[in-house]
Amino acid sequence: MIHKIRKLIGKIRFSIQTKIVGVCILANMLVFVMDMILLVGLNNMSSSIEQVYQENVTLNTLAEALTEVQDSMTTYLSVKTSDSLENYYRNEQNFAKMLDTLNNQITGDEYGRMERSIRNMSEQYLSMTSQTIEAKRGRNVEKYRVRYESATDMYHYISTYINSLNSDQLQANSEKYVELSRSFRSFEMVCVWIMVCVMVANVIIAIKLTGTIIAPLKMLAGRADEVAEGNFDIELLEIYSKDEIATVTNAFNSMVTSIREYIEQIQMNMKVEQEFRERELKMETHLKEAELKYLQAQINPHFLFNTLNAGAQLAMMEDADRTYEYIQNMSEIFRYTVRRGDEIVTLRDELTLVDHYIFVLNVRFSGEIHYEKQVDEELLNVEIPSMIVQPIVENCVNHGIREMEGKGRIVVSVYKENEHVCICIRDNGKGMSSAMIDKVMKGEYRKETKASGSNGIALDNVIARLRYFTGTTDCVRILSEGEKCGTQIIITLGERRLSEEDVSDNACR
Amino acid sequence: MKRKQSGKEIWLVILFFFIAILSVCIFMLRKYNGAISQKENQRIYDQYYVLIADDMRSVYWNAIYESAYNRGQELGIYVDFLGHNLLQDYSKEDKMRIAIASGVDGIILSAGESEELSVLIDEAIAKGIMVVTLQEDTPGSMRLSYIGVGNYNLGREYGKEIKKLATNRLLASDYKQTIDYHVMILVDEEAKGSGIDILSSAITETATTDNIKVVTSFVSFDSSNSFLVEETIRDIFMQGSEPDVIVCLSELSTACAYQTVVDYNKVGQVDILGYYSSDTILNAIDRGVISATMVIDTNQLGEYCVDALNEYHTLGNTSQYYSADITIINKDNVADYLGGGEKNDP
Repeated sequence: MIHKIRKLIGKIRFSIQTKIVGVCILANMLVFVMDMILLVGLNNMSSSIEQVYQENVTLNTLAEALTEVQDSMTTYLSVKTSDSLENYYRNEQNFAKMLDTLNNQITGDEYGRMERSIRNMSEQYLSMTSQTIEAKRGRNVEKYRVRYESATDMYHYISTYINSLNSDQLQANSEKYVELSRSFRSFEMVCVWIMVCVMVANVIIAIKLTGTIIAPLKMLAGRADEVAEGNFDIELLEIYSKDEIATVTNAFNSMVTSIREYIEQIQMNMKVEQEFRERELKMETHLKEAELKYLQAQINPHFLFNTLNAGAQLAMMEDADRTYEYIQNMSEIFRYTVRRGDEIVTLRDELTLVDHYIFVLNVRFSGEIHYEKQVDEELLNVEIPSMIVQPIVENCVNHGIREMEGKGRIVVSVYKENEHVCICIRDNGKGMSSAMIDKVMKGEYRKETKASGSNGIALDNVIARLRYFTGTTDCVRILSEGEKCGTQIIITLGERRLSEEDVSDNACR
Repeated sequence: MKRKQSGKEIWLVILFFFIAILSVCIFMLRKYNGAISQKENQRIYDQYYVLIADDMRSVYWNAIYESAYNRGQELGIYVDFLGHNLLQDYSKEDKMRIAIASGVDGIILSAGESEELSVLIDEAIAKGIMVVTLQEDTPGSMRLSYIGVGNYNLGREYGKEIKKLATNRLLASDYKQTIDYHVMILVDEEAKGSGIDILSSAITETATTDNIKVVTSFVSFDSSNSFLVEETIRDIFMQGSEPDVIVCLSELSTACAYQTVVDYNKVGQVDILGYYSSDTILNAIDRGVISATMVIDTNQLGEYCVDALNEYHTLGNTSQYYSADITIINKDNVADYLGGGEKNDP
């Protein structure tokens, strides 16, 4: 039950207004309750004072009633009028009625015993007066005289008892009254002191309670100052109450948490952006490097291109068809390298270049290189950076086939795999060790190739450009089963195609 | 957590304070109310006995009353000293009438041999109110029992002391072979009767020797008027007829006789044999003004009265006579009683 009530109270939401009103009500209630208690006490005491003399008043009334009986009897005996008789009976009845209120038990209390004696004597007295009246009515003079004397004696005894009781009670009541008055005065003083204490306590309670209301507000203000100074690494405020301050504190905590999250997010974004910029810069560097290489080679290709054209025309005029074809292929190669150094081209262009290159090489090396193409024609319009396939083929010839004994074989296949376009350049050359493959993939092989004095574009440059183009690191894979087992380089591209216009544009160039 | 705890502490302090203030208020109220409304003894008793005696202020009668009261408390009976709280002094007869009219269950009466009292005793008995007499008997009445010391026994004890005094007097006068030793007995007028005669005879019989002739005389006084006792005794000295020894049969008369002997400078000439052991009497014995005092066991007297009435109430019968012990206090043993206040027990 208590648990339930606690739970219920726990659910109740106390607003600050409710709390302040509660404090006021509590303080006022305390004063009110104390006031009521003291008032009841004072009221009781004043009632006691009022009742002190009530017993004396009652006894006086009894004595008067007794005297009236005696007087009315005496009057009747003297004058014997019906009025006096009636008066007697009325007084007797009245007195008898009053006797019923008197104590009839033997008590330890002296007043009680005296009341009992008064009651018994009075009953006997009334019996005597009745007999006296009867004797008077019977005109028995001697008898009513004797009875009158006995009744009168009894009347005096009763009067003495009543007076004595009255006197004793008066004395006792006077003492009681003095005690009561003294008590009253001291109680008044106590009341004043209690009220002073209650008021002081009220002030303390009000201060304490309002303190408990304001304390979280102060803490909140302190934390808000810290936040304002830029310190977001503050400890979150605990919430104890369920008032508006709790709501504000909760909101403050949420705000601080959100700000922290935003800051983290921004920092992360900045980091990513920085990385992106770094990557872009690197790419740019590589391109610049490639461009430089092209520029370095630009003078020769132009010169050679023009020269070769002149040679081709000469060969044609002299009907040297094979020479013409050879020079023509050489010319195509140079033209491609001059024009397409930094462009996105189609796979078709790249493969055509490889054809020219292989033709030239086969003339040069007396048809030792067996070149084979396995191409899905639909994929020939797929986008690819220029000068990708030819350098790889050149690499195959220079490092794979040239150093081998027997007939070299290069197979270029273009196919589709899992929505990706794959270009596979395979040779049957001397193959690559896995350590070498790692070096090539990490770009560490570049220096060594430079040292070898190759004029072509290095494989690491090809790999880097492909990575920037595709945005993935696994766009180039080099597979080799070891020494003399050949090498296989697989390029994986997205299926982005150049439009027909672009293709024709490229072709026009 | 700390804040929560401090919150709880505040509420505990408030609660404690509130309870403390409330307790103080209730305590003060109870204290003051208790001071002004002390409950009287509300015990209800089965029977109501009253003691009727003349001298309500004497230590002797109050000692008897106290004893009777205590015995009554044990038996569920309330014993009252009738008239002690009345504004007017009444005679024993009036008190008897009041007691009868008040419907008491039993009356302990220090009676005497008055005819009117005898009639009233009979009237009470006739109305079913039990009456026993105490100290002084009313032989002719229908009283149920008498509680006291036998006058003969009392006379014998007085006689023994008188014999000692007379012998000392005789020894003091070398030349005398015999002396007449005059004994004056102070008697309450109401008690005068055959009982006093027996007492007188017992004194004479016990004190008289070959050399000592005891002459007794009576001086009666009205005990209902306490001033008259002293006046009566003074009259004796005024008249110059002082005796050798005054025998007092009440505490009041002993005190009066002692003061008179001192006032008239008769110490050593008039011996006093007292009754009861109030402080005044004991001091007087110590100073040698009173020769000896008879102490009747007031405890026994009071208890016997209540026992006799209760026995009659319970069994319908009781012993006709209850005798209490007598102790003599004189110069030899007064030290044992002095300083201990009023000694009722010998």
